[in-house]
Formats: sequence, structure tokens, C-alpha cells
Amino acid sequence: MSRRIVVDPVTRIEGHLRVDVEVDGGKVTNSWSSGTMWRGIELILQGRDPRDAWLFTQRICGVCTTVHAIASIRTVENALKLEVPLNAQLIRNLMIGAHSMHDHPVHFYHLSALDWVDVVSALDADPAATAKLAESLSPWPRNGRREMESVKARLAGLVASGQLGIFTNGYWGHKAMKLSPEVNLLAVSHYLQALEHQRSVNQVVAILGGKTPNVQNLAVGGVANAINLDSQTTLNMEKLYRIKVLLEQGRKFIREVYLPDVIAIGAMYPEWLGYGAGVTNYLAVPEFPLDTAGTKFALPGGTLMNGDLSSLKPITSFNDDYFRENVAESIARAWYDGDWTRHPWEEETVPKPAAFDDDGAYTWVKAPRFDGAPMQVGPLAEMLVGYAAGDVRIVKEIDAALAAASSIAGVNLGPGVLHSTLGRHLARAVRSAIYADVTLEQWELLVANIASGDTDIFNEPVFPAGEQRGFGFHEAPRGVLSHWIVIQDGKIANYQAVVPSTWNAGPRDAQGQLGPYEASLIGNPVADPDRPLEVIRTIHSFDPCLACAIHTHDPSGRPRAQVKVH
Amino acid sequence: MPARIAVVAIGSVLMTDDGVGPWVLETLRAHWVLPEGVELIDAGTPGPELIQTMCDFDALVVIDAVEVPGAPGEVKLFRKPDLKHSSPGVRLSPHDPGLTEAILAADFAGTSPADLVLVGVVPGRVELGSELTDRVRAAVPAIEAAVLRELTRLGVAATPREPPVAPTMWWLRTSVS
Repeated sequence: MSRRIVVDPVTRIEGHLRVDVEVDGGKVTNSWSSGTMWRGIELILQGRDPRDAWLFTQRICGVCTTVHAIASIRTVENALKLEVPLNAQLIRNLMIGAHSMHDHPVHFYHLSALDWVDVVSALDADPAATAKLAESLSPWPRNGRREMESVKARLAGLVASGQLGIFTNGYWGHKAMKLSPEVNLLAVSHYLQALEHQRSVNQVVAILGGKTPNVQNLAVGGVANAINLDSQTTLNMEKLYRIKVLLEQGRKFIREVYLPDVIAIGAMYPEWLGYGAGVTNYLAVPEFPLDTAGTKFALPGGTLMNGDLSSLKPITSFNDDYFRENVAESIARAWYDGDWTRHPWEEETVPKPAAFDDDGAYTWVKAPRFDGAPMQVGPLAEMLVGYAAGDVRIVKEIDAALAAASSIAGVNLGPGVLHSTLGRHLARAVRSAIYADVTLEQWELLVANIASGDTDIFNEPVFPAGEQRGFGFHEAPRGVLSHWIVIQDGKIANYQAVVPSTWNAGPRDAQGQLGPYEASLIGNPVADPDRPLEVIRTIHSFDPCLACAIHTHDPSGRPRAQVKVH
Repeated sequence: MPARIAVVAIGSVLMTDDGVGPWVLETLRAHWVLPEGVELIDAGTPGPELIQTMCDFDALVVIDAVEVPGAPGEVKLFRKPDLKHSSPGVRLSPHDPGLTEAILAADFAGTSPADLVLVGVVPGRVELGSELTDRVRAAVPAIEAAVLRELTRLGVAATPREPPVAPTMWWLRTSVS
């Protein structure tokens, strides 16, 4: 008998995600991913100054502020064919890198890890054994017995107070939880240390951006960070060295805590390297531009189809025709007027509210397609594209992570296991480590360029009469983000943001092709339909930046369970 | 006066009355000079970054739209114990449980602010748009006064800005300057 589960998160004013699943025989047999609020950034932006667009797009999502700012300035610069000074490119790269270094570990420990880690079980851990286990996994200096005793005591105090506080809504004792008490205690200690990591790496964005979360230092044409190594008020050697120290601390946490934890969890839940593949078409864009025009990058982009590494088609510049020509969005199954599939420059937003209809429209999220195909975006896409492209760094790091997981699991795990729920987590952790290295390289490049005597930071944008069209992309923490603009006589005539969570959480299209969330849930086990932990695991593996809720239904469509997920 | 104090505005300036927090924050910034060490933070619609804000201050005055019964523009104060015990099922604020979760996470880390008050504002309408509704806009002086009362209670002496300046709501700029 089939039951239906709905995951519906009742939070976040900017809207949330809802996932409905039908469960039959302990497995998901069908699913629908829905966004509950329409967004219309283009309606806010029409008629405004293109130089202001980034200030507004930065407010689209509170978690993704910097990334929408970066995509927006790249978009206007593309429309104007405006190059930016090398210093500006490198300062932006530092912000991009630091943002990812902060975002991934924090979201893992605060949102996803508790899908795998049983906090209450950690109370049964032996702190000495935990410290010994930790030493076998990593050289991190804060894994000692006394640290573990202190975390266990803190947890015991919380439980003794009769309230679980921040851990109130977890699935403690769920039979899908399989880690030993010691691994659970180690993870809780790292949950706490991740807060300190967040504070430290975030300072890089704050030093460069003026403040965080909403940075102030960006501009169409460059950045507003005046460079004078001898001045107290500008970007100087003291601030640059402070940034270097913070980045090095961040890299240490990622390499010695986050990455080993994800590898260990992956190896201890090997069955989850088999579930959750879904859409295995992947899209990634190149990131960390190394020149003023955006034609050379530190990391590659491209597409892969059907999980086939030999199908790679590269995306190579900010003017890439393959990317520009092939992105479109379908509203066939969304609550908008019409049933078109259009290029972002040609889109319009005319809401047409209606009831949730399994066989018709059921979401405010449009369905992005690349040459007609649904695509998965995110760190897994970026790492697989890099792996297929033979990027030396990505191949080395992915192979090393798989070898480490294989040795813990006692089985040989090849790149094929990456197409999975835990594969997404593993790719994200590897990406964090690579981004930490690349970001420190950007620091070296910036310091060398300044030392050569170049202090340029800004090229003035000029808006000719008539129409210009532009697009800008960014490989954001959650995947490919692209903005699209039409400028008419110096004002914004149309603007679209095709965001990572739209690629992944988008609905079916006119051909009935499922979106990545939907496809990834088919075949997922669900041991207890009233506590659909397994569904949450797969959704969280995409790292949604919106809250998400899951609804379970029985065969008649009657709701059985409703679960909030953050 | 506690060592580290911040006024934190939460809300989206793209969602009409949800942007009341940032609106009041910019009003405060234009009208008052605050002592060194008192920060004004436009947090937008934060995720886990809010936990960090919790950890960084001894006292916080948070301004946000709250989904509770009342007339548009009405101010409702909630203090830390109210927020900690708000059941996850009750929507105290449109961003809840973000605020509650951030307090609980900071509590577990042992670094949450000793004093926290939410100056909640009942919204009239929350939908796409960068303006406040008339009734909430008319209530801005009262909300500003409520924030100042909380700062006074914390021992913060705000002095009027001389010469006075008009608040800058950048999100109201509609056309090419």
C-alpha cells in the first residue's frame, strides 16, 4: 500500500520548499518538489539603474547574498563588454573563495550532519575512545580526551535540563542512525567548533566587503577597495596578511575536520553511496577568472550527460556561446500564465495562482533546462566536470577522498559512487578543500600584482543608447547561478535570475521529465513514513538554502505526516 | 552598559512590510549618534550567520516583522525567555524559527547574549515590493522610539545627529541618477 509524505517547511519569508513523496513498500515511488512563493526580482528591477542591480539581487536570498551580487555585476559588465582590472577580479575571487569556505562546513554541521549523527547517542560515548578514534582520522589538535569530556558534559547538561534546546526536533534513536556513540560525540564537538570556523572565515568577507552579510565593496566595473599599502584606511599589507592568516586557519579546519568527517560518515553509511543519484546530467561553470576579460579560469566548467564522463562539453569563458544559447526555463508545470519554454532574456513573470495539482501545475519554481535536458548543479556537478576534464587538482583530491573512504569502509569505492546522496556531501567537502587552496593562490596573485605596481580597481561603465543584452554566471556554493539582463537606454528592461535551487528543485517540464530533487528521491528507502529521515537526507544533500518540509500521503492522497526541515 | 551591543534588523527590503526592520535601522542611523561599540547591523534574511551574531554580542535589540495578531504597525516586545520557549509550531516571526534556533544554538555553545529583546512589528502586507504599506510606514517613529527605549534600558545614551540628515533607503531609488 502506498503512502504519501509531504515535507513542508513553514519558515522564511522569501518562501520555502515543499516535497511530497508517495511511499510504497518502504520505498519512495513518486515525488513532487514545490516552491511555495513566487519571486519576481525582474518586477522590482525594471526601470532601475543597472549599476544598482547587485544591491537588490544581493537581497534575493539571505544565505546567498554575495553570490547574487557577484553574478549581477558580471552580468552588467557582460552586456557592456566591460573588462575589470585584475586587482578587482582577484579581490572578488578572494570573496568568492572565502564565502564557500564558510558556507559549506557551517551548513553541513548545522543542517545536514544531524541527519546522520545521533546527538543523544553521544551521551553513551567514551571520551578517551573518541579521542583515540579521532587521532586515527586526522591530526586536528582539538580532538583530545579533555575536549571530548567537556562536550559530553555540555550535552549531558542540556539533556538533564529536560529540554534538548537546539536539538529538539531531531530523529534521535531512529533506526536509520548507525554511527557509534564515539563518532556521534566527535561530530557534536565539531558542530561546536564549526561556529568558530564560521566566525573566522567570515571575517575575510567582512574585511573586503566592508560588512557581512550584505557586502558594500562591489561595483559594475570593479571593486571599491582602494589599494595603498601604506595607508591605514585602504587595503594595505596589514589587512592582506590578516586575510591570509584567516584563510589558512579556515583551510586547516576544512582539511582536518570537515573533510575527514564527511569521508568517515560516507564510509560508515556505504548504502547511501547507492541511493539518491536522480538526474545525472551535470552543469558547472568555470570559476576564479584569472584575467580581466574572464577567458582563463582556475577551475573548469562544462556539461556531462547521463553520468558519462566522456560526454564532457566545456564552458570556457564569460562569453561562452554554448552556455548562452542553451539555458531556457519551462513554466508548463508552474503557476504562471502560459505554458512556454523560453530563453531568460525572453521571459516574463505573470503569476497565476492555483491549487496543487499532481498532474498539472504544482509550484512557483520554473523548470530550467539546458538544451532541453534537466541538469543537476552543485559541488558534485563541478567536481565531476573537473574530473572528466582531467583537472589535475580535482582528480587528485577526489581520488584521495575515495581512497580514504575505501580504507575505512573496507571496500573499493570508485568515482561511480559519487552519483548519490552521500556523494554530493563528499564532493562538497572536497570542493571546500580545493577552494581553500585556490583562494590562497588568489591571495598570492593579488599580492604579486600589487607588488608589480598595479593599483587599478575600477573601470567606469558607459551605457550607450539602445539595447544591450548580457549574462553572467557564477559557480556558487549550491551550483550554477546565472543572471540575465536586457538594458534599454541605460535602464533595466528585463532581468532574470536562474538560481541553483531552481535547477535542482524545479518541477517536471512539458515532456514530464522530473527535476533533480524529484528524480533523486525515487527508490529512496523510508523505514518509518511518519519520520521520513531518509527523504530529508537526500534533500539536504543538495544543501537547499531555503527551509524545506516533507508531506507523506496515503494512496487516497490524504496527508499522513508533515515534517519541517531546515 | 554591556560591553558589546547591537541593533540587528532582520527582514527583506524586497518584501514590503517584511522590510520594516532595515527601514527602522536606516532611520535610526540618520537620526541618532550612538556611543562607540554599539553596532547597527542590517542582517537581511540570515541563515546560520545569525548564530554568529548571537555569539558576538552581550546584548541585542532585534527589529523584525512578527506574525502575531494585532494591527499593522503595532509593536510587540518579546524577550529572550519568550523566544527560547516559542514552540517550533508557532510562527512568532516570519523568520522564525531562525531567531529561536540561533538563540538555542548560541546557548549550547555557551556564548549567547545575556540580554535579547525582539522589537516585533505586525506587518500589513508581505508580498513583492520595496515600499512599506502606509500604516506600517506611519508607525516608524513609534517603532524607532521603542528601540530607543530598549537602548536606554541597556544604558546606551543616543544623542540626536547634528545636523540632522534624511534616512537613505537605497532600495527606494527607482531610476538612473
